[in-house]
Amino acid sequence: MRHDATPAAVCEGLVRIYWSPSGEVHALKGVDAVVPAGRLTAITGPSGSGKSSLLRILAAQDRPTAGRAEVAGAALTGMSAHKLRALRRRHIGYVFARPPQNLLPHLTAREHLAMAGKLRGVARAEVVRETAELFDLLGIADRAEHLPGQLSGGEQQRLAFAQAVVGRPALVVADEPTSELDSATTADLLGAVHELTRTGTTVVMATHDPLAAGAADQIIHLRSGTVAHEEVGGRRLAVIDGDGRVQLPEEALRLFAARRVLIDVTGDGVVLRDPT
Amino acid sequence: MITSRYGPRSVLRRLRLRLLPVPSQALGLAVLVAVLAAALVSGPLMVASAEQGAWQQERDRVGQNGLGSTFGSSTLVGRQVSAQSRIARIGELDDAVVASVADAGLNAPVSRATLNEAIFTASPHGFADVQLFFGTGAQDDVEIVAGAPSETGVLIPQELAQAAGVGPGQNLAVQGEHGDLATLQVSGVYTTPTLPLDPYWEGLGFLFLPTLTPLGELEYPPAAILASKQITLATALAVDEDVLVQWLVPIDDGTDIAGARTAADDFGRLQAAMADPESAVTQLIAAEAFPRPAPESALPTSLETVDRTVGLLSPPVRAVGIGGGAAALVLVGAWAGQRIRRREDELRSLITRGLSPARGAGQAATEALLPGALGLAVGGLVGWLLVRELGPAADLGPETLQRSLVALAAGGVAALAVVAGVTAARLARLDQIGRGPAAQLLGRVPWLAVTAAVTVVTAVPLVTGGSETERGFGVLTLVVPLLATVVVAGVVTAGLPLIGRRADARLRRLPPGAFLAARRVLAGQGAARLVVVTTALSLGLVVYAGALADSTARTIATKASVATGSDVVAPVARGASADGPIPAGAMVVGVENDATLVPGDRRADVLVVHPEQVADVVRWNDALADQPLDELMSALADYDGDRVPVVLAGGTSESALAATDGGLTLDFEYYTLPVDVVAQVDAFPGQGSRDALLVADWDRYLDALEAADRDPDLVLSRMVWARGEPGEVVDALATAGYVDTSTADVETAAEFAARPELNAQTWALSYLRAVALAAGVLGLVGLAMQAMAQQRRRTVAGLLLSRMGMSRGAADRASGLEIGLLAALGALVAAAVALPASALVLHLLDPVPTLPPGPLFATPWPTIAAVVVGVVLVTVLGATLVGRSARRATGGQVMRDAT
Repeated sequence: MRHDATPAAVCEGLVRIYWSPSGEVHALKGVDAVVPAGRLTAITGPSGSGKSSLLRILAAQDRPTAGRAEVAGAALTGMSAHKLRALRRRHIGYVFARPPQNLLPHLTAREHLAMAGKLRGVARAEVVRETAELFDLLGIADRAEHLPGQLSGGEQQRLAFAQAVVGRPALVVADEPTSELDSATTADLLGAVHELTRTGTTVVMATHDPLAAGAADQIIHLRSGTVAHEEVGGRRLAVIDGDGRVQLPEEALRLFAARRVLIDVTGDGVVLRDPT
Repeated sequence: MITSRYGPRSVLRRLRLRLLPVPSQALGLAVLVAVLAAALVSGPLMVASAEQGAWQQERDRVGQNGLGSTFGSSTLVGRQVSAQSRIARIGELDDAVVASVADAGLNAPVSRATLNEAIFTASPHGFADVQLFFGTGAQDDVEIVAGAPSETGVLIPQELAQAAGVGPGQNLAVQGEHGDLATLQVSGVYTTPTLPLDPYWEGLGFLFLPTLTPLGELEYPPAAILASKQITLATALAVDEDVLVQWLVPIDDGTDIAGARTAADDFGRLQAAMADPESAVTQLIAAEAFPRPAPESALPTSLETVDRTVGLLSPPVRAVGIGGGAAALVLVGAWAGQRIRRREDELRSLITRGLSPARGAGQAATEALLPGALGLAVGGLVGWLLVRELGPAADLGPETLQRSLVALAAGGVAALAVVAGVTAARLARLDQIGRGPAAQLLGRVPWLAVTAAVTVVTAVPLVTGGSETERGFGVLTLVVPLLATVVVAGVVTAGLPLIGRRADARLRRLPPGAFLAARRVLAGQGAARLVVVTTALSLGLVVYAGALADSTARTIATKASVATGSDVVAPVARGASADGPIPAGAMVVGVENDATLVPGDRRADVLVVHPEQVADVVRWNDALADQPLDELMSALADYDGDRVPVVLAGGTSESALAATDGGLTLDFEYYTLPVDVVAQVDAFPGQGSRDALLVADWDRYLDALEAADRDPDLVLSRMVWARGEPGEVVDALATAGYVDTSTADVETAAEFAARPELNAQTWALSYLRAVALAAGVLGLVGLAMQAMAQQRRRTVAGLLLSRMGMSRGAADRASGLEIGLLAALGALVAAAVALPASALVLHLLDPVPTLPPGPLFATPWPTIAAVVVGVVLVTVLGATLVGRSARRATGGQVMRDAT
C-alpha cells in the first residue's frame, strides 16, 4: 500500500457560481476538502448539495469561481481550457455512472485500454503490461477480447475503472459508479476499487450508496454547497475553514437556539456553551 | 495471463475501427457526399453538354457543307495575262490548293470546276446549251442508267443523250461561244437529279433545277455534262472558255465541338498558309493574276452561337450547381452534428478524458475518409450518367474530365472540412459548462424577423424589375424564394402551438392515434419546425423550378408562334403571279411596315391576310388572345362597315380607342387608310417587334388601297406562310412557282427555337429542375429518416403508451399521420411560396423581351402532382419503417437503456 503525504487534490474556500437566465446559482459556497493520495474518498450529500460541481472541479472539467483548487499539484484557477484538457488527459481518470457512457460498443476490453493509453500518451509496451496487470487485478482477464455488450454490468464498470487507471493518473474521479449495480456486484466492484487504491491509485467517488460510502477511507459529506462533515476511520469530523469557521452537526446546532455560543478553549480542546 | 493479438486480422480490425467504426452512420455520409459530388460535378458537365448540344443543333441546321470552308477562283480577271495561259495553269492552282489543304491537316477538299459560259452541242433539234462540270466524286453521286464513269469520258444527262442521239462509247461535239470545237467521249448516261437533292449537290441546284424568269416562267438550266478534271480543263482550253473553280474543305461528318474548334483554327492556318508569299498558291496567283481564293464558312458564326449559348447558360448553371453543392454541404454538416448526437456518450467520455476538439475533429475527418471517397465516386458517376442521358448532348468530351475531377476534389475537401469544423465546434461546446455569453446572445436574436427582413431587402430588385444585368436566372432568383420559404415555414410552425391550444377541445374528441399525431405536430417543437422548414425548402425548390421551366416553355412556344408567322416564311418570288393554286397549308400574306396609328401616334405594321386561310397556316397559341382565332377571323371577314376591319395586336392607347370607338387612321405619310379595330389581341403571328400590328382583311385592304389610288403590288410586300417541314415546303412552293429556290430567303420557326437565349434558358431551367428534384427526394428521405430518429427517442414513451393500453395499430396510425401532416404542411408552404415567387420573377426570365407577348405563367400541374405523390409515398414508407422499428424494440431492453 502506498499512501503519499502529498494529497492528490486540495480545495480551499471553493466557490462555484453558475449564471442562468433566472439568476445566479451558488453551487459551492466555500468548500474545504483534501483528497489524500492512495485512498478512496467518497463524496456524499443530497441532490443539489454540490457533489457534481465539486466532482467536475476535481476532474478538471470546470474551474472554480473563487477559492483554490489544486489537482495533481496544479492550481485550476486561471488555467486555460487547453491546459485543463492536458491535465485531464495526463493526470485524471473518470468513470461515469452508466456503463454506456464509459465504454464504446465496438471496442473490446483490451482495445479500450489500448485507446485510453494512447490518449494519455503512454508507451504501447507499458499499456500492454498495465493492461495485463489491471485485468488480473480487477478479475476480468478472461473478458479481454469481449465487447461491452458481452459483459455484465459489474464487469463493465470494472473495465471502466481499468480504463481510467491506465497510465497511472494522479486521481480517478467516479460519478456514482455503483448506482446501476445490485448490492453483490457493488461489493465486488468496491473490492476491485479497493485493490486499485492499494496499488497507489487515488479514487474520489460521488455516491448516494451507503455501501459504497462505507467502503471509502474518507467520506466528505456536502450540504447546501458546503462540507457538512467528514468521516475518517469511522469518526465524524467537522471541518474548519481557512477563516476558522466550523459547521456544527444538526444535533449540536439544535442546542443553540439563539445562534450564539460561548467558546472556552481548555487543555483538552474547545468547549461551546449556550450563553443563556 | 492475458495475451495480445497481433496479425493481419488485428491490423484490419484496427483499420476498420479507425476508419469505419459505425458503418450505418458512414452510409448516410456516403449518400450525402454523393449528392454533393453529383451537384458539383454536374455543373461543368452540364456546361460541356450544352456546348456540345448547341454545336449539334448548329451542325444540323447549317449542314456539313455550310460549316466547311469554301474557296473560289477563276480565270476571269487579270487580263494582262493571256486567258489561254491562265486556263492552262488553273489545274496547277487546283493542285497547289489541294496540297495546302493537306499540309494544314484538313480533310481533302472537294474541287469543283465549271466553264464560265455554257457551250453548245448540235442535236437533231438544233443547238443545245450544255454545261461542263467537274466535281470531286460527282460522277459517283448520280444515278447512271447506261455506261460507267471514266477518267477519259463524260457522263451526260438522259435528256441530252436522247436529244443528241448519243450513248456510251460515242462522241459528243461541243462548241464554245467563239466557235472553237472540242469532242467529248461519252462514257455513260445519268438521270438528272430532282428534289430533294442528294447532300453532295447541296448548293449546286443551279446545275439541274429550273429557275423562275422575270415573267414568272420556269427556265431550265443547260444540260450538265459531268467530266473529269483533265477533260474539263482540256475542253475549256480547246473552246477558249474561262473556268470557275471552287474548293470545299468539309469538316468531319459528326465532328464534336472540339473538332469544330480545331477545324476553325485549321481554316485560319490554311488561309495564312495560302497567303504566304512563298507558297505555291500565292506564286501562281502572282504569276497568272488569278483571283485570290477568299475563304467562306459558316463555322465561325456557328461557333459564336455556341459560345453565346454557353456564355448565357454558364452563370445560372454555376449558381444552381454551387447552390446544390452548398445545400449538400449543409446536410453534411447536419450529418456531422447528428453523428455527435448519436455518439454523445462516447464523445463526452473522451472529452472528460482530455480529448481536444482538434483531435476529435481529426478523428471525425478520418472516419469520413472512406464514406467520403465512396460518395465522391458514386456521386461523380451518377452526375456524369445523368447529364449524359438527360443533358442536351451525350458526348461530354474528355477535356471536361479534368474540370469535373477538380470539382470532385474540391467537394471532397470541403466535405471533410465541414465534418471536421462542425465536430470541433460541437466538441468545444460539449466541453463548456453552461452556455457562453456569445451563445446566450445568439439565442436572443429573433432569427425569423431577421430572415424576413433580409428576404424583403433581397426581394426588392426582383419586384422593381431589376437592371439589365440582373435579368435572367441567377443567384438572386434562386435565393429569394428559398428565404421566403424559410420565413413562411417559420411563421406557420410558430403558429402551430396557438392553433393547438385553440383546437384543444376538438382534438380531444379524435381517436387516440389521430389525437397523438395532432398533438405532436401542433406542439410545434424544434424537430417538427425543422422538418417543416426543410421539407418546404426542398419541395418548394421542386415547385419553383417546375413553375419556371413550364412557364418558360409556354413563353417560348408562344413567342415562337409570334416570331415566325408559320413553320416557313418566305418572300414570294419576284415576278411570280402568286395567283395560281397554292399548296395546302400555305397562304400568301401582305406586309406593309412603318405606319403611324392615329390618334396616339403609335408605330404600327400591317399584316394583310385571307381570314379563311389563317387558321390552317398560323401557329396559333390561345395565350395570345382572349378569343379563339376563328372568332377573330370571323370578325374580320364579317365586317360590314366602310372602313378596313383590323385586329389590333400589341395594344394602343385605350383612351384613343375609346374616343374613336375603334375607328383609327393608318398614316403612311403619302396616304392614309381608315381602319376599324374589330378585336384586340396581345400579339399575333408575324409580329416581329413590340410595335403594334394591324391584321387586316385582304379584300377590304386592297379595296382601300385602290380607293387611295395606290397599287397594291407596289406597297405590299408579299410573303408566303406555310406549315410543314421547311425543305419539303420550300420545294413544294418552288414547284408551284411561288418561291425561287436559288434565292429564297426562308425564315423558319425552328431557327427561332435555336436561338442561344432560348437554348440557354431552357437548358438552365431543366438543370435547375433536375437539381431541385434531387433536393426534393432528399428532403422527403430526410423526413423519413427524421421520423426514424424520432421513433428511437420515443421508445420509452411508446412502451409506456403501449402499457397504458394504446394498440400497435393506433401507434402506427399516429406515426403515419404525424409524418403525413408534417410533409403536407411542408408541401403546402412550398406551393404557397413557390408559385407566387415564380410568377414574381418571371418577368426577369423573358428570353426575348423585344418580342411580344410578355412572359406567361404556367401552373406546373405535373410537378405538383409529383410532389403530392412524393408526400404520400414518404408517409407510407415512413410509417412502415417507424412501425417496424417500434416492433423490434423489446420492453426490457427499452427500459434498461432508458435508465
